[in-house]
This record gives sequence, structure tokens and C-alpha cells, in this order.
Amino acid sequence: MLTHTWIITQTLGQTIAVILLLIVVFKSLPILMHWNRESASFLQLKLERRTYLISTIIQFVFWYQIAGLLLFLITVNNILPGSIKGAMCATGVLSVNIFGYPLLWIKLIAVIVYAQFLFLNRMDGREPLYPLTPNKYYWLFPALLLVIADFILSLLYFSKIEPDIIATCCSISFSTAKDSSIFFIAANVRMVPMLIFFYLSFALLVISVIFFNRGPELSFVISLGFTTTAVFLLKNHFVKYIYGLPSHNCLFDIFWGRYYYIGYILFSALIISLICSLLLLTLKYIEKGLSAPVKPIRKILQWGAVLGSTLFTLLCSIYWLNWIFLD
Amino acid sequence: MNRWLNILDYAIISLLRRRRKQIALVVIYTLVVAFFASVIFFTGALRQEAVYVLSDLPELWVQRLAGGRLVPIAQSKIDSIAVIRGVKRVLPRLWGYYYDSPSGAVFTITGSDSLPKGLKLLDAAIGGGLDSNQVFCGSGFPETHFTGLGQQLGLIDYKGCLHSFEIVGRFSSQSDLLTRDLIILSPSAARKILGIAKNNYTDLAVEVWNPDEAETVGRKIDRLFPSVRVVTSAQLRSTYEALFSHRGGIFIYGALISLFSFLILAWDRASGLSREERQELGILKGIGWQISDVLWMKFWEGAVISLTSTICGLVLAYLHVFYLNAPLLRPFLIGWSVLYPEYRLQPAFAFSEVLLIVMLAVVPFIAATIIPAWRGAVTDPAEVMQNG
Amino acid sequence: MMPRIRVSLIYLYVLLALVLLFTSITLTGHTVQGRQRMEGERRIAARFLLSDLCLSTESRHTRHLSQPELLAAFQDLPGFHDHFPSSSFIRPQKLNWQGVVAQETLRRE
Repeated sequence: MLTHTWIITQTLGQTIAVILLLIVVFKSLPILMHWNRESASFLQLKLERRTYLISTIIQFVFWYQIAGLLLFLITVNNILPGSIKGAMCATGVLSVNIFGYPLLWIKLIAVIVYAQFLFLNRMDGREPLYPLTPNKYYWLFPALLLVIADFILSLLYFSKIEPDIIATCCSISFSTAKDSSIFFIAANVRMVPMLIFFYLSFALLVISVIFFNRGPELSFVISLGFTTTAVFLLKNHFVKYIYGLPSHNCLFDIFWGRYYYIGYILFSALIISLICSLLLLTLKYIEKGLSAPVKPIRKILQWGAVLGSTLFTLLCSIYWLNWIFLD
Repeated sequence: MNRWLNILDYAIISLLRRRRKQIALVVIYTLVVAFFASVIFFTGALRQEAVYVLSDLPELWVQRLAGGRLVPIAQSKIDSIAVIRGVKRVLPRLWGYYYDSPSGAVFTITGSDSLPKGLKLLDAAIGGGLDSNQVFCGSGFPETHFTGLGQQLGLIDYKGCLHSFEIVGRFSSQSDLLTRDLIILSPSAARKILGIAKNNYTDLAVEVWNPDEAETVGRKIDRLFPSVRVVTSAQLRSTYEALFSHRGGIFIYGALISLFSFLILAWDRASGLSREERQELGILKGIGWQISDVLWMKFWEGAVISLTSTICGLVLAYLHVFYLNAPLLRPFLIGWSVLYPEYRLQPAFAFSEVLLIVMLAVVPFIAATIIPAWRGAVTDPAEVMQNG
Repeated sequence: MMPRIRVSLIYLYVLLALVLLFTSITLTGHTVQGRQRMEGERRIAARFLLSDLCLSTESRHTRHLSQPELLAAFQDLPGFHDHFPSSSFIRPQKLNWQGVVAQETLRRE
């Protein structure tokens, strides 16, 4: 399948990302070793110049990876189901071989890691003395690892797709609902406690983000809980009301135009909320070294965390309530 | 906002100052983008057409093989397939190829006695079924033989005897993509021309009650009758999905190589700063531009070039495929055909396709110009002014 | 000081105009007539059981892509090579003697 236009584009983009990040890591090694804030040597000047290159490249790769995630989602949701037999949506496409789902996870984690680095970079750039400078570059190593993993997994995943072999789509996923996999335990879990937990964690998240400035660890943990519950409930509860079908527990059909691409909105809201609460946590640890006021930044992050989770909860609830009150 | 516009201003003015170099770059870039955008548009539109047009067909197609060749299928087999549970209807087909020596073209002959009512694209003189001396035909035969509705059409049967038919219906040239080479005869006449014995058919189309059961029914037919091949309509459509995705991909590889060679040009252009350019950057640094400002200025230069060329390439590709009917791509499909359809494709507008093209065009260019831009941005003002 | 002309704004307007041009020709190209034509073709295909598009008429397997004929390579005359220009742009489907469904049956069992 490597001759497919969409796949060529993504592989090309991933290759570029790997090359650029290799360059970046290679260039950042001297910074990690020789950075000395007090020194006025020629080496230090050279290293300072180098930081511009690194932050520019990471910014570029970050935006490319966001677009690449979008491209990947379009590929598995809309493009590939046509050419793989039996696959009706991304569930079937991603499960044609074992590399599908790990690839999706790695792409999501990579976005979070880039966001973390860019945030550190941004905070560092506001200061005249670059207090975070040598240390923030340690984040480049996980980023590089993720990009390489992403590249290799993409190659394996796309090259191992055989259009002739029948994929097992939802028809199989539903009938083996008692599978041990975490997203298929729906049959055994009662929905009501989960729903209560979902709304409770949402309320706690909002309260802790707004009122407990000192304890971002708490809100980050709550945010993790909220996100997991949200994805679980979206898959097993809310999608039914989005599709209007009681038996259709497919997580990926919401990315289709038939449902107004609502999946893109829901998942970006969720991811923005998660990233913002993670950054609030980061902010607490770097705050001491910063001289510029961090209050406006914190405000933005708080707004991001609250608005993202609210948007998600509101949209899901509207679908649900709409269905209840219609009947 | 103002600061951004100022930097963009400067970037554009400095591009315009060196316009002779840049125009060549933009032209080549536009052509490269136009080439692969054409491939993507063309294949996307063809695929859309195939999926839509072939969506109402029966679910299963049954053919008989003997010695690896297709052979006619007997009436008795139709009867025994029709009683399989789940089968709604068995529709026998009579079809084959006809080489027309005067024009050198190959036509497709189909036998049909169904009433052609309610077909907008068929210009028919009769309302009922076909008599044994009447035909419907696509636009191909009348065009190569300079005949038309109401005139005669001569076909030579497999024994060598000439038969004459009256053209009583003609498909509009709008449906060329489907009917260009068709000649539709009554079943008895089709048998005579194709040399198929009575009670025999070329192959069968099988309708099933529940489309989800098509595979199961197909497997059952396959087991019950040795030497039979079953093709499902899903496979039929996936044939058209695969169309071009193979060589279409190779086209893209070709385009990528031209893109790479072009990128080397861009890289070279961006990194080999002339003396004036170095001096200019030195002066900018000297009058107080930050490294990040210069970097942004260089970035905007690249962005202006690549965005302009991508948009121009998209427009060019669109005109090429949908207004000029892809004169550079169609010959590959037509090959040595004497008769080929003059189709006009319906644009399949997909935001995702445009996103794909933009990613393919803009990302490598920006990536190739980042490092040279940084090299320029860290130029030491004092050094440049002394040596320059 | 002379009044400044914002080259950047002019450029952005030109870019916007090009984007609008592209969007508008794309949207106008998607005509009702085209839809109707495709609808008509769909009904013809269903009525006369036409399983393939007429993309090329040079050889039997590129005329009817989905009706595979095994051994097509030497079917017209002995030693007749099959490398028609159009057939090289179509990916061959994997088949065995029994045909497609049989192959899937084998793989499952």
C-alpha cells in the first residue's frame, strides 16, 4: 500500500520530521554540555544563536505534526475504508494489523510532548537570562524517540496493509464485547455510576482549576480521570445519541461528515483541556525561576482547561438531552 | 499585528527586488504542484464516478470457467442457483466483444430485452423491447460509421454472414464513460452474432435479498458448483478503487523526484547568499533587527513563494483536469484504443484533497529553507560590514 | 514622509482572491447537470447490467476491468504480449484458479 498517494504524503512528512529532529538533537547536545549563562565566550554566543534554530524547527515540526494527525485521521476514516475489504470505518482500518492503534496513540502523545516543549520555550524566551535553557532541551529526546517510533510504525503499518484480506470491522468488535480490552468491557459496566463519575469529575476539574492555584497536581490527576472517563463514555454511551442508533458503539464514525465532523471538535476540546492542565502543572515547577509575571499565562491556561472540558461535556450532554426530550 | 505586517512588507519588497530569480522559482514550483495535483484530482473524480455509477448493481457475478477460460453458462445452472436460499433473482447476461474491421474499433455487444423506459440519456425511437432487427448503440458506432438514428448498422456473425439492424436508439454522448462502445441487441440477435447456443448465457448476475449475506451466498455458490468463479460487487468496486492508486502512486513518486530536485534548487538559492544579501542582513542586524525578526522575515519569504505557487498550481491543475479534460493524463488510459470516450468529469471537491496537496507542496519547501534562513539570520553584522 | 503602501496587505488580498477563485471554480464546476448525468449513467448501468466503465477499449481486460479472464496474456494469438499501454496503469488483483471467493475461503480456514 506504500504507493497510495495519501500514504506517500504522510511518509514523506514523517521522513522530514525525523531528519529535522535528528538535526535538532544533534545541535542541542553542545548546548546541554557547555551552556554557561555567565560566560561571554564565543562558544556561548554560538550556542545562543543555535537556540533560535532549535525553537524554529520544533515549532515547524509541531504544526506539521498537528496537520499530520489530521491527515492520518482523514486517511483512516475516509480514504482507506474504500480500499480495504470489510472495513467500514477506522475501527476496521486500524485493526488490520497490530501497528494501527499504537500508531494513533504515539501520534497523540507526541502532540502533548511538543506542546510541553513549546510552552517551556515560550516561557524561556520571555526572560532575558534564559533560566530554563539547558534543561528544557532534555524534552527533545522523548520527542525524537516519538518521531522515530511514529516513522517506523507508519512504515510497518502502511506496508503491511493488504487490501485483499478481509478486515473485521464493527460486526466482530460488537459481538466480542466481553473481550478483555479496556474499551470493550461495556457490557459488564453499569452506565449510571460511570455517568455520575463523569459529571462529578468535570465539576471537580472546573473547581480545582479555578480555585486551587496552589495545587495543579490535583487538577492534573482529575483531568486525567476526566479524559479517560470521557473517552470511555463517548465510546459506550454518548455516541449512541449522536448516531441515533442504540446498538452502534463505534468511536470513529463521529469523524464523518454525516455527523458534521463532530468528532474533530470533541477530541480537540478534550486534548486542549488535557494539555492545559498539564501545562498548569509544569508552570508550578518552573515558576520560581521566572522573573516576568506568570499570572496572565496561568489565566489563559485555566481558561483553556475549563473551556475545553466544558465544550466537550456540553456537546455530549446536548446530544443526550436532545434525545431524551424528543421522545 | 503591525509588526508582522511590517516584516511581511519587508519580505515581499525584498523578493520583488530580486524578482528575476524568484519568478523562475515560482514557475517551476507551480508546474510541479500542478502536475501532482492533476493526478490527485483526476483519479479522485474517476473514483467518485465509478463508485456512484456502479452502486445499483446486483451483488454477485457468476462466471463459468473451463480450462481457465470463460465459457458460456447453461440455463440449468441458472435454475439451480435461483433456488439457493437468500437469492432473490438471477439475471443472465449475454455479452461479448465485436471487432469491427472497417473502423478497427472493438465494440461491446450486449443482449437485452428489458424495456428501456425512463432512461434520460437514451434517445429511443421505440417504447417497447427490441425486435430482432433493431439495436440501441452508444455514440461510438454512429460516429465511426457516420450514421445515425433510423439508419442501418451491419454486423458480421461468427459464421461470416452479414446481418443488418436498424438503429432505433442512441445513448447521449453525456454517458460516454459508460456506453461509448456499446451495441445493444435483442437476445436472439446477440446469440447469433456472438455465437452463443440457445439456452446458454455469457455469465450471470445474482441479486440477493440481504446485501450483507452476499459473501455467504457467494461462497455457497462457489462450493456447490465446481469450475465457477464468483465476483462480488464489492470486489467490482474495489477494482476501481485500485485503479490508478498503483501507478497513480508511481506518478506521485515521479512528481516527488522533481519536487526533490526543485528543493535542492530552493535550498541552494536560500543558502548561497550573495554578497548583497549578506550585506543587507548585516545592515538589518546593525539597525536593531533581532535574530528572530530576521528569521521570521526569511520564513515569510519562503511562505510567500510556496503559498503563491501552491495556489497557482491548484488552479492550473483544476483547469487542466476539469476544463481541458486532462489532455496530459488521459492518453495513458486510452492507450491504443481506436474508440475512446470523450468524458467530462464531475469534480469531486474534497477539502481533504486540497489539504493533501498543500502538505505535499508546502511542508518540504519550508523544511528545506529553515536552516539556510537561520544561517542568514545569525550573520554577524560587524563581520559583514568589515569584509563586505 | 510619503504615504506607505502596505505591500503585505496587497499580497494577502491577492492570495485571498486566488483562494476564492479556486473555491468558486470548484464549487461552480460541481454542477447539477453533472449530478443528473451520473444519475442517468447509474440507471443505465443497473438496467443493462453494465459492470464496468468504458475507460479504454484497446483490450478486453481493460475494457471490463472487473471481469477477470485468467490467462489473458496469450488469449488473442499465441505469443501475443499483453502489455497494452493502459493495462500498466491498473493494479492486477490477486486471483487463483478457483476465483476470488474461493481464495478467501482458503485463507479463513
